[in-house]
Amino acid sequence: MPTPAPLLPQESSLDRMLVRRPVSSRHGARWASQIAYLLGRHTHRVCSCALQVLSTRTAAARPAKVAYCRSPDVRLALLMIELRFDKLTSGGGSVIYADGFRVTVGVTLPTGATWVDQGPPEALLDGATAILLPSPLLSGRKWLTGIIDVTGCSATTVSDLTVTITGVGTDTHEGIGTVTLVEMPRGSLAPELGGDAGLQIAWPDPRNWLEEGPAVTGPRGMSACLDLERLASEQLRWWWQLIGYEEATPGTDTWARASTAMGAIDWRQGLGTTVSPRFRTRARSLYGTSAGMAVEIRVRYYATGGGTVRVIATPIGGAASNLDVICAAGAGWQVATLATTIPATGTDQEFRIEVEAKATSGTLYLSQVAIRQTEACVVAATGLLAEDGGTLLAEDGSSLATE
Amino acid sequence: MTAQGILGEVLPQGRRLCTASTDVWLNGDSVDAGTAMILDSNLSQQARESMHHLGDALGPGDVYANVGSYANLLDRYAQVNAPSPLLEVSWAQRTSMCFGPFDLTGDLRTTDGNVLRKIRVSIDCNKGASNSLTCYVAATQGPGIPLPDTQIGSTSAVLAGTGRVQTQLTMAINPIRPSTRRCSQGPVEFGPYADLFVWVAWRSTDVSDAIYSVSVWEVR
Repeated sequence: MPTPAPLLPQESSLDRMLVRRPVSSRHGARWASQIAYLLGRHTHRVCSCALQVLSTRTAAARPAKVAYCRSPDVRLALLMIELRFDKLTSGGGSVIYADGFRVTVGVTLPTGATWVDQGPPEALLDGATAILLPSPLLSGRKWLTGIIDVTGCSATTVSDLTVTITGVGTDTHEGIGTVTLVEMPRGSLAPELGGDAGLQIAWPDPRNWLEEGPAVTGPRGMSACLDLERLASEQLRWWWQLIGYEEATPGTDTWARASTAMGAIDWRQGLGTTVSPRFRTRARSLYGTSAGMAVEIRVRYYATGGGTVRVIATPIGGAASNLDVICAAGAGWQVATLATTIPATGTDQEFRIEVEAKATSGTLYLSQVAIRQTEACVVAATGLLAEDGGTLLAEDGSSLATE
Repeated sequence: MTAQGILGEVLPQGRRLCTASTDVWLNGDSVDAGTAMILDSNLSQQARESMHHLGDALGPGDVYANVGSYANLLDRYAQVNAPSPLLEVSWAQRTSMCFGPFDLTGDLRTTDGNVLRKIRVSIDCNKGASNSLTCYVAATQGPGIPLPDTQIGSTSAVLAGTGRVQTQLTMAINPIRPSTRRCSQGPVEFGPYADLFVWVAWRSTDVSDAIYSVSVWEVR
């Protein structure tokens, strides 16, 4: 029987587990359920980014790339693309009308992904079907939807999903609206079929014995429970992602920094370099606020002379950290990454994000900044509680309280 | 230990366990209560920290040009003395942005039971004059624009003072019935999904008003 993925976390009370006393196997049922909840419901909210309106309408292709990495038990991802308005023309006097311009929207899937539903025939995300832009005379939005089978995608290596909007003939557009990529939660997990990592609720061994084996492939006792606890902490990622246009030959619609001094990026489209926008979000804290949130910062850039992209992370009420991603020189779009941590010490664990850059020479162009949680398990030692229940000890008796 | 509740109890210590891949845990060993507590605490901690960042936007920059948010619209009209703040803006694309759909978790315990997590929106903006810039945040189930009878959460703020500020609005979400969405193919599996869209809009009466960025995330 598959394990249902509960909609809510499962309550627990630690005082039912007394040191030096046997632990009831009923706890195993709750652990299985809690693991199903985490793996089944907390799939990745990868990106929902409202792209900027182009300063000038164009018929040319304007691609944007979304970084993606699968969570352990996900099957499907939902892609939503909002179209921006049609051109509005004055016909003389008080007569105005929408031009009826059309675009094509093409989507290149991340490595390993396949389409389940590429959209209805009149709005296929194939880069060939002409899709009418929504009328600016109406307030409603127009969304294009695709459903993606992501079971073949890597859960450890990031690859890009590309959305490209192009005018049909001389029809112009003003870019893409919001692009959302979210993984669908699961209704239940079926580890006995070999495809899911979850545990069966009926698993618990009444003796609470450890049992070795390829734990993640099936219900294999406590060792499976420990493996899956680690899997849930390591591969259910927190994402922050900012995407912009990635012109094949970077032009005036792609973010840029032409100075050799670190400073505000030219964010184009009504922002320019006058301000360095500040974002805000909340850091996760799995191992205490002092440990910080382990992340990978990933940028897509084009810099013939190389350069640096700086993410400035400032815990609210705390000091800023400059997280520099070094970008090697190259004639083409490339990816650079930085493994680092972001402090979770801010008020409400919140922190501010600013992005700056500098070019070693020439101009550095930027089209994506993604911050992805990369919690890794550090195996220190067997965890044991001291008899007073207050101190976590290693096997040699040393305290692990600060670990 | 920290408070119990739907999120479970957690230990105050750091919590990392080695796994069966090492030679520490051996076949036939029994599980001690200390280890069980750590495992239990870890799972509860992960449930507590499972909150997601939801969305971002750059710009749009100057927003005063969009003050006539109802201009040219055939299906919406500006109301004098609008009975709801939601009707003070048209929610058309020039004066708003929309994020989603998201699946929120109902793990926020209230006296009325468990409700969906709140949504916090941060808007980095410039106030040209005191009270010249008003920001609106709303949530809908489905992509229809927020109206008084379709919104499932909303809030707004008239920003006093002048100059740059990173203002925050936190919105509670009313109880909803999740819709059903496909979760896998062959064999087909369906699961509950909140289908929540988050909207951010603005209304400006000063030429120096500007919005530089928007961030959206979950809080309890």
